[in-house]
Amino acid sequence: MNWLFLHSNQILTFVKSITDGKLLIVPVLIEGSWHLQAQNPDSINEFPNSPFRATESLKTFLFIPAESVGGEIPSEKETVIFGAKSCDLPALQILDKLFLEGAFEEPFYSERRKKTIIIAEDCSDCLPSCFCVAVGNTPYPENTADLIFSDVEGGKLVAAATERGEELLKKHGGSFSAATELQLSEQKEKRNAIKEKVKISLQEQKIEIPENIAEILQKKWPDKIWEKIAETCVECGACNFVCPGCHCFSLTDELTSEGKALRTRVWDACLSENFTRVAGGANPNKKREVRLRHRLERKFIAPYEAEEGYACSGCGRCIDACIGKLDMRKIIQEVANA
Amino acid sequence: MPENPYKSIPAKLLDVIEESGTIKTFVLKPERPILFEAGQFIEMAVPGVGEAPFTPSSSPAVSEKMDVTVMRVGKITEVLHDLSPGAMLGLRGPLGKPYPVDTEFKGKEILVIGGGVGLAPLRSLLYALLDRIDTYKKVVVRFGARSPQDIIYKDLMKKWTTNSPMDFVISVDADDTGKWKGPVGMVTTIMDDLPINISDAVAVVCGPPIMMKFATLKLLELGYADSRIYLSMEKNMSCGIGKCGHCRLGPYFVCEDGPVMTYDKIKNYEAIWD
Ligand SMILES: Cc1cc2nc3c(=O)[nH]c(=O)nc-3n(C[C@H](O)[C@H](O)[C@H](O)COP(=O)(O)OP(=O)(O)OC[C@H]3O[C@@H](n4cnc5c(N)ncnc54)[C@H](O)[C@@H]3O)c2cc1C
Ligand code: SF4
Ligand code: SF4
Ligand code: FES
Repeated sequence: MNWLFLHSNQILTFVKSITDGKLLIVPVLIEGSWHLQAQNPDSINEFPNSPFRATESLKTFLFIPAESVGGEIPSEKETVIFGAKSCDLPALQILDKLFLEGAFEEPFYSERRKKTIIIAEDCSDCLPSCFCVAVGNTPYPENTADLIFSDVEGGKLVAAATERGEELLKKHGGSFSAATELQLSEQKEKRNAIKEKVKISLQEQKIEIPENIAEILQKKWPDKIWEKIAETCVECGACNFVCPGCHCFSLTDELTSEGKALRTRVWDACLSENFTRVAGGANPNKKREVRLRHRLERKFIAPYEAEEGYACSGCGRCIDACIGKLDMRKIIQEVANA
Repeated sequence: MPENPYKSIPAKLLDVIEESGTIKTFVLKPERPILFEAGQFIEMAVPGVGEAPFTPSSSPAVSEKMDVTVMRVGKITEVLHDLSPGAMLGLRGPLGKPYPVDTEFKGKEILVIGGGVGLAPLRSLLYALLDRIDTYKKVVVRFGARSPQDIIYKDLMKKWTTNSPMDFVISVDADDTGKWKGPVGMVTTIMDDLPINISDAVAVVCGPPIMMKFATLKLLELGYADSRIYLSMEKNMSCGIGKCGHCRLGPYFVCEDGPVMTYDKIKNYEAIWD
């Protein structure tokens, strides 16, 4: 990756120039948690960033929760999203593959994805639910985002991970200089430090995630363990909705008050009982524990969602969202030790 | 800009044919022709009410009209059954992969096993097979209905079982008319002594899940290779284009990788028959 240095007195100019005239989404601290929200570009007076991932994942803006899809494909506004973290990015690869490839392209996602610039930055802190380092991920972005930023003394290092990112740097290039050896080693040190921090956080919580998750999940475990694990799941689907990589949806049809047929694509959840039910009542995933295990299988067994590696990036959102206190890290541990 | 795969093509309901107490055939004229191949399906919508997947039952060679045979089982199928000619419906498709009638099936002996409303999708396959009957060694059909009254497409069935290039036998689970002259028993009971050279044959199975299960087990027992058994998988579907996740079966999207799938691909996954 070709790292450039952006001096702190240039940062705001750069941010303003790439966000000019676009819809701007930035991390905002609200009652102790970080949320990605639209903000007026004029009110930006510092580089928009958060110490760790926001509550909302990127899919909220690219594959939006509910969208009218029965008619014409609208032209979307050019958008810039700041505050993407490393654990937000693998999901984009999953969504891109699913929605942009195959026999059919999903035109609504495609339109938003094309018009959205994604800016990611290293984490400087972590949440108790973070476990990126335990699933082969790092707390600093290395790909997929258009631009990646790291904090260094006196400014920021920036690199492009996509063609669009390269173009952005070229277009706004005047203010950059090549990163120095010193700056690169400072970046490396900081990156190692945050990686260590996530590891220590996991150790302190006594969470040890085995390396062979796929194997563990693939073994035919007695359903009894899963029955017990799934006991507190209330099938709300929150884990599905907050997950950056969960992409299931349903099409629903309704009549407007003027009698016009409206078709909406809405997020759906594989944790809900009716997700796979067919007429007559047959349902391959009738049991809650089967649905819960199914979700984990989809995250950790290739090539279900991802060709290689895991489809879970360790962002921990599903852990924070679960009112049944289900923690997939502990589930994996429990199943491994069963 | 790509086309919108969620947008239905308006289709006018030309005729409604009553096939049995719970099954009707809807004859549709789409605003523009929908060219499909046997085995592919469509999503049919009652505008503003909802959509469901169905396999056309008409000949794939006919493009200006399309027949869809529907069993009344729930929300959308009930609304459909109450419609009269003239109503407007919506169609999306064709979706999924067709039977390999011109490739893997070519030069083979073809055994088709069907049950219940499974005859609807099979009718379009049989039309396609008849259109190229000379390219197969033979076509043998064994079909099971609950009772003589439940047999749909009665006139066509009479013709196909008595006077056609196919070896076609229908059995009924029970004869409630006292007039049935054919065999009585589940379809699996007429699968012994088939005039088929198994090593040179492919088998197609389509029907209710329970029938599919027992017919497949029977085929395996008879010695059919896993990869030569073509199953029509019925899963909950919404998008029909491999995106929404409803039809997931192991690593597959049944709507995109199927709905016809060979047994070797799916046998290791749980609950394939549910
Ligand atoms: C590839 C394929 C081909 C089919 N071909 C035919 C056919 O030719 N004739 C026929 O009568 N039936 C066919 N079916 C079954 C038919 O789709 C269901 O009977 C229908 O969805 C029931 O809808 P409903 O609203 O009346 O039932 P409800 O039970 O009220 O279902 C509500 C919703 O659940 C979903 N759903 C329920 N059952 C199924 C199902 N089996 N498959 C997918 N989604 C389902 C649908 O979204 C449906 O709208 C086919 C199914 C598949 C998957
Ligand atoms: S999981 Fe890792 S990458 Fe994501 S916010 Fe936490 S520390 Fe950052
Ligand atoms: S499964 Fe949970 S931890 Fe993994 S990516 Fe999804 S929300 Fe994050
Ligand atoms: S029906 Fe949506 S993925 Fe198959």
